[in-house]
Amino acid sequence: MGFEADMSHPGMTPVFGEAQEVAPGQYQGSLEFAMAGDWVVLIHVTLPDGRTLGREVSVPGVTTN
Amino acid sequence: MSNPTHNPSVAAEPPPFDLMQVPGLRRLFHWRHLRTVLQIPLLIVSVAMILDGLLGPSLAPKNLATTLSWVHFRGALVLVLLSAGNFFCLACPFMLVRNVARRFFHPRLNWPQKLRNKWLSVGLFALILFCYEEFSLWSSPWWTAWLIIGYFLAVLMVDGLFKHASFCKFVCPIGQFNFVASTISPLEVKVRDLDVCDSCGTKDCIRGRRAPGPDLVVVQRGCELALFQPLKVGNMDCTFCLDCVHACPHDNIGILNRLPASELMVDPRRSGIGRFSQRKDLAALGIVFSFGALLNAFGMVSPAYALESWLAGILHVNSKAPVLVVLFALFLVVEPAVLLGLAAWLTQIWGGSRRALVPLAVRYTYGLVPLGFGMWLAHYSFHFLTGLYTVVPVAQSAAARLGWTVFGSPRWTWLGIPMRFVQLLEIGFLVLGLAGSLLVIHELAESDCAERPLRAFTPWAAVALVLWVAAIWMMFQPMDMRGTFLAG
Repeated sequence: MGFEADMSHPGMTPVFGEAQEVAPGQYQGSLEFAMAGDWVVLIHVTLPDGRTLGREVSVPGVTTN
Repeated sequence: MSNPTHNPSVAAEPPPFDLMQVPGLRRLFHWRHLRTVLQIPLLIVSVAMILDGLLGPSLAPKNLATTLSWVHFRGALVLVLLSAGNFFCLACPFMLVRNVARRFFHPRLNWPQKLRNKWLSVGLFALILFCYEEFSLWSSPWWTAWLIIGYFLAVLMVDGLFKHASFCKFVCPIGQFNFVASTISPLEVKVRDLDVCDSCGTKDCIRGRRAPGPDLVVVQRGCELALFQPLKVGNMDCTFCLDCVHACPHDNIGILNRLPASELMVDPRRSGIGRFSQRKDLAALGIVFSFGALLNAFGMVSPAYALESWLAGILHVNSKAPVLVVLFALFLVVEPAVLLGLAAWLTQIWGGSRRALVPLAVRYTYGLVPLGFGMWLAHYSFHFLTGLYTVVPVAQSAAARLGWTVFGSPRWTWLGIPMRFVQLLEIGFLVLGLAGSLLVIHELAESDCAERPLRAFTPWAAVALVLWVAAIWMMFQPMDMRGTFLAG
């Protein structure tokens, strides 16, 4: 399972990450957003039989620490 | 007359560089189909952007419409304007569609007299900047596609009804941006030798040529933007379409170099335009161009969202539009009125200028154009250079959706030049912009108040400095790009 986070503005640096299985069926990973703004996280999953799944999760209004 | 070739006292100066005299380019620029050949690829790209915008991924960084519009087109546009001239208008795909349509529909009307100015296009320019924020155009392939479609429809409607290049001269917001920015460009479509024009009996450069016979079919257009070459000064309103080059029977028009921004330092009567100092509409265009550059960049940094949230609280609103209306009024109307009004007043009382306040403000507003262009350059080249290669995976992805696997899997890690290098360039552009503005203001002050130029120069230089400091401050703010400030 892999992650990719993109800003809502094209051309900005995306960030990538991998998720590890921490329990059967549960995956955990982390992403560090490079800047404030609206982000969209794309989750890419490859199933054991080779099929792929994708999901989009909106993360709006990320602010700096 | 500013053309040195017309002045015997400077006739000994070497002739200016002429792009059309470069071996190989001469034939190219004289080729009648050059414009069409440049327009066709851009039309194909525009159609691809529309289709991908409407039917492709909804995520902006994955879509051709948003990536090409807001990263590559804008960046390439300002860099070409900086390094050469208004070559985008030359290759404008909208005009190709118009030219094809005009084979079937012949416009009969003249553009209305009351609209023969820049007020409409100033409003449209500001409206596009407003819509960019209101609809977060950068993040919406769908809206971006409709913007391009709207542009094609508007061109067809305006130039389908009205003769000549009414859309380019009086409507097109991108064109107005290019016209103002190209006053800073190093190249200009210009007469080589005015003495040749003096003896010319045809005036084909503006009239064009018609076939003999009762139908008077146009075989070569003259300038559709009403710029008579011998009296044309600078790049304002010039689309680099090269119709005048093709029409001139004496091969007396070239693409000559000049000192960038030099046309802003003088105020002759210009063909098709008049005097800059008497054009309030052009000055308003300069204001939207210069102050809009800062406003557009301000939308990218964190303090903008804090300000918007604060304003929304004061106004007791939950929608973006009223907040943006207030911001736009503040930055495009109130701020220029205060700064330019104050500078004009100081020029009057301290510099001793006998001009009234408004004419003074109109005259010196053009001095802020280089700074505004520096800001547009810094902003757009940032996106262009840091996202330079992103077009590759987006195009690969679009091709893959069509079943074309020949381009391989999208390489989403392809980005562009690292931000730390681009930031240096941004500072350089802003410094150049300030230097250009100070130079133009200085020349205007010298010509206005020969006895006390420093007193006329200082207030306007202070305005330029205030805007420059604001631009530098913005550059060092944390970036923050969102369309959801009220929810965030």
